[in-house]
Amino acid sequence: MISLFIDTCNKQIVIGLLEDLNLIDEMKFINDNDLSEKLLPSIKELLSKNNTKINDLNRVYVSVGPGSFTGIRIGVTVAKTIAWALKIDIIPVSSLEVMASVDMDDNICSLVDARRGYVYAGCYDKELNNIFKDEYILLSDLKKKLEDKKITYLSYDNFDFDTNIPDINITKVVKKHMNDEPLNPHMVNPVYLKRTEAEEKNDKNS
Amino acid sequence: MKDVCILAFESSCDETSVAIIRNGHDVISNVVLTQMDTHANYGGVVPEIASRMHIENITMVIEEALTKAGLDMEDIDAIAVTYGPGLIGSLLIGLQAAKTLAYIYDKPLVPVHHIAGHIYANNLEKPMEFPLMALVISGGHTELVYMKEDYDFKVVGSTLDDAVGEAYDKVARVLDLPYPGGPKVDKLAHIGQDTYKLPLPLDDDTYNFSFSGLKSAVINLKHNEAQKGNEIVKENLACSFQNKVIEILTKKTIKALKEYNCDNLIIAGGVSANAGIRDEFKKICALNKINLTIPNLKYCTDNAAMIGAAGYYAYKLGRRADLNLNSKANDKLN
Repeated sequence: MISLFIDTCNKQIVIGLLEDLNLIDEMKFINDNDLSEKLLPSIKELLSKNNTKINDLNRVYVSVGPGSFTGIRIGVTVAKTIAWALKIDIIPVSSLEVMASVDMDDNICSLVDARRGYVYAGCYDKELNNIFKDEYILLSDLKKKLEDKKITYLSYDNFDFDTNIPDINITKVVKKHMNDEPLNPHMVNPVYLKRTEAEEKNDKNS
Repeated sequence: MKDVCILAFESSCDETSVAIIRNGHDVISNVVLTQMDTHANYGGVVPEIASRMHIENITMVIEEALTKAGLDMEDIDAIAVTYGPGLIGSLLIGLQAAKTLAYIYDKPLVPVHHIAGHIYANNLEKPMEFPLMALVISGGHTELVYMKEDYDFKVVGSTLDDAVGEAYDKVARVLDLPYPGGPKVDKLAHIGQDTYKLPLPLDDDTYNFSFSGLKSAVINLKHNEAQKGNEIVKENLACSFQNKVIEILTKKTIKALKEYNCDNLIIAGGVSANAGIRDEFKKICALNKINLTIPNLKYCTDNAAMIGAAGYYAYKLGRRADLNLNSKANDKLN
């Protein structure tokens, strides 16, 4: 089974090509505001240098957020269009879980700065099981919640406490989700964890 | 000659649309999913909500366009996509989907400017005859474009501030009409009378337009009448406003047609659905022996059929893009 893995939700873009649970090759690069230009050429390059045709794919794993709204949408649009066109399985995964896929024995909290004191946060054990479900939360509230827990923070963003830079292990994520029920590609959509400001304002007013 | 089938994408604002067009004029299918009802809750298009809705619907819209046409991807010769101008987050969804399909099926990718699409909507009515003058009027554009031949665009005039459609929507707000207000102003104008004195905007020797002064005049007029304790007659104010818009549009367009020695006029863009503007141009073109084409109402607003029509001529001219094609929020008509 040949799988393509795509995560474009955060600063580091990760794409990978797998045969079953073997990572054949991967590409990691920083999103320098040029993801819209680079994603498809990168996928094409990854496949062609490994003598794989896009039609050889049997499955797509896609990270659906949270993170950069635009980043999420670029990756998810490409992934769901590939899965729909090739009629292959697509399996959505959390971007915070992808960040947590490091080779460590600690419990992990993945963080993405969501501005105005908020973060997107997901807490995972070393087997990538959710300790708390991913949420959009005030950083101060999160710290209170995790006060008495031994936890390692991972983030690409800077905070006023120590965080480690995630070192993503695609195989670990794929292993965790290889038996998930695939979704209809039409139904695979971003998980923003945050409604738009317009929606929030409308709710306040009504 | 062999038929050419173009699969076309349009997602520049709040319509997710995919169409299949044969030879630049036959609409095999044209699926348009509008988000207008959602944005009406917010009094205008909310870009982030628009982007979110595009991605939820894009693959379903592609599937429906192919199913309705009874075709599959092997029957498609090229993929055309609106790369800009428009809302960047919205444009990106159609662009990524189009590029992905171009990659998978190894089809030529043809970038199309949104305004070229609006102009070529007229080719779905009848073959465009050159030279022609195109009056592009929409929520984001007001331009007079001279074309000597296919894909030869010379912008001879454009708006210096608000687009016509923008002015309509703002005046609609002054008249307390809910979004989208432009068509409602047109309706009120139809039953009203031209009783309010308003300025003719940018009545000069150029082919440029300006509508923000006219819009301000409407706001001031309402304000002054309120100060005097007078209630505005909405129908009449709508009519007075619309008449000034029509007067300046027709005046400059006819003048441009004469100067460029051109007797073909096409009207394009969302505001070309305006009944008052359509009727007056029909009258004045008949008087001046100008061949006028206005798209069918369903091709006036944003749709992928028009992108497929423009895309066909771009394809024949050899215009191509690579997989690194990006969306552009702003770009000159070309």
